[in-house]
Amino acid sequence: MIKDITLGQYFPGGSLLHRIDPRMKILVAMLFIIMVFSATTVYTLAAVTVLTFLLPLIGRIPFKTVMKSILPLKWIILIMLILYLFAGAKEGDRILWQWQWHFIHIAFSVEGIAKAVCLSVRIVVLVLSTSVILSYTTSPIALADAIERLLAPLNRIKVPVHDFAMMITIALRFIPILIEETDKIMSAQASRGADFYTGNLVKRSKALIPVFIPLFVSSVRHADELATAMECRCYRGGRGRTRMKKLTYTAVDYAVFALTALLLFAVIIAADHAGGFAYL
Amino acid sequence: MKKYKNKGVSDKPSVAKETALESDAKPSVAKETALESDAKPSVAKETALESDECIIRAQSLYYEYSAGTPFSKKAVDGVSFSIKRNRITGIIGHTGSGKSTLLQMLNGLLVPMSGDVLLDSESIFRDKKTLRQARFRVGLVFQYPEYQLFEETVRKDISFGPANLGLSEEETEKRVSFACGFTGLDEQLLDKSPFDLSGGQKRRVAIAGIIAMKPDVLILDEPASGLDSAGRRVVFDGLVNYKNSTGAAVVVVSHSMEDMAKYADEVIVMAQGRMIASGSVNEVFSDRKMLTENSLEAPVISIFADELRDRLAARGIDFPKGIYTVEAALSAITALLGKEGMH
Ligand SMILES: Nc1ncnc2c1ncn2[C@@H]1O[C@H](COP(=O)(O)OP(=O)(O)O)[C@@H](O)[C@H]1O
Ligand SMILES: [Mg+2]
Repeated sequence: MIKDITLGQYFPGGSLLHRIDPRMKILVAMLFIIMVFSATTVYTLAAVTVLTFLLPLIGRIPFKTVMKSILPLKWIILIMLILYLFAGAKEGDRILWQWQWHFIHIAFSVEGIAKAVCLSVRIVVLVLSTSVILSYTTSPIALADAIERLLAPLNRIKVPVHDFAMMITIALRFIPILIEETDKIMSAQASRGADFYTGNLVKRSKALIPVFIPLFVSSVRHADELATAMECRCYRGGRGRTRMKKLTYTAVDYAVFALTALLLFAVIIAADHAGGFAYL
Repeated sequence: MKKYKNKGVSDKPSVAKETALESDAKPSVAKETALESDAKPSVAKETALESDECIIRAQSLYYEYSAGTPFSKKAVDGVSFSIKRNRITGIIGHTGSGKSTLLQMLNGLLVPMSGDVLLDSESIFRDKKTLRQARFRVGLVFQYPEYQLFEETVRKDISFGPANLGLSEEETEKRVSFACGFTGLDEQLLDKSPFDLSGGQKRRVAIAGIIAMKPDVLILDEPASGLDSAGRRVVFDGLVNYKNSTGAAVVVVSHSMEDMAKYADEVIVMAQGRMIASGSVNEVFSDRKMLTENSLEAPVISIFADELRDRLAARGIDFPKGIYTVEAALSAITALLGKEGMH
């Protein structure tokens, strides 16, 4: 049932990727995104692709799991392939096959195919690298924490960064609990003969009332209990609050950052002196 | 919906039974023959009776959570047993031993990855119809069922199940008072909001919601947890009454060995997803070694009775065996005092 949906794909582990400071990981992910967009030649894109496929190895994430996150992209890629294959030909391209009818012009060209393939690879690489760096190897809580720290300067202009981060953290924390609870309530109502899967839309929506009301009641109860528990421990918002887990950059973090920056630099230079042919 | 090989199912449980006590050897043989009794109706009377009694049968059930992922967790592993009509069957076992998972397979909420559940000798997973029928005939009360209440009034909430059964309003109304009778709910509460009741009352409303469906098999997952002793008694007395007046089979998970000794006829012991023993209260609770090995304990009164028996034996006085309830201890001691007084 519902519990089969994977939400938050954190994969606990102790690899190098897991140990990097989450703030640094956000920065590294940004560099990676820039790198993917700077790789405007076939060779550089190939290099970035190889690098990306090394990431799951470094993070010790099973390849099958990673592939699952790319699978939903298949439709986007398919639509793009079709668009580029048919409409990507420009003046002077090496046309392989074409067909014209009034103003509809369909043409396969070598350049069009190359562009379509490269763009698809780029999307896959983009999703793969960011999800391995940020979601498979970083716990959502660490991520929220890192975002809070990175956005801390906004406190100066009175943006309540801490409160937002706390809200995100709590919301993330409650997602699995609520999923489990939904599942339990659905099972309980199903054993009273509720039927969620047959009938028209109206009937099926109505069938969800016995699920939503208890779920709503228990969410309010959870919120209430949590608020009490937080107040009992003297939580009063972010001001003057210290942390148990202080994030500190280590030499490894700096080294990883430097390496990524260096790679980015190399990609930019290599793309500029385009050997092979530039596709964009 | 899959049917897996079920041959040789009965060796594991029957081994477990043999360890429980010798006296069970006969019925367990009878049960094995009952398996074939569908094909050959001319088996001895005893076996026929046996298969009549049995209403639901679990056959080497296997269930694993998150199967195929690195987080996979074996919850139930090769469990077989049969539940008899007009009996209260208790299930005991440490937290995480797979009791709740097991119960959810019995009414088809979870589909076992292998094994089968037979309701009146027919697989409940055969098709949609048998599955839906099993939902109605096997009523499952979840743990903390009060969190599933949702209607405006208690009456409407208890009517939810009967209404899903497609019963008329009149019949539904009858079922509501029927259910209230067994759960000790005051009819005055019926027009209140379920959210205004006390914890114990909510629990009873939720149990009434299942009883109102008149299930042939009533299954309850820790129905008394978190209740005070008066609340526990009301719940368990209600179960006994329901069983006596309808002849239904009642299956109940509980951590209270006292309640099990007092109310259950048969006991199934689970540990780490496996059924490690089953038999009468006497058989299971007399196997102290098996219980302690699985972090369970016999009822305190039976430990007391054993201690008393040892001390009296030292003085040459006989004290009966097999005492698991306060009532039994009381009558044994009274009898003893009466005898001693005659001397
Ligand atoms: N929804 C679930 N997802 C994953 N594992 C579960 C789930 N429910 C139970 N388990 C695991 O299955 C095992 C058996 O659980 P359960 O049937 O609830 O045992 P019990 O009711 O005896 O405490 C436990 O180890 C538990 O952690
Ligand atoms: Mg349980």
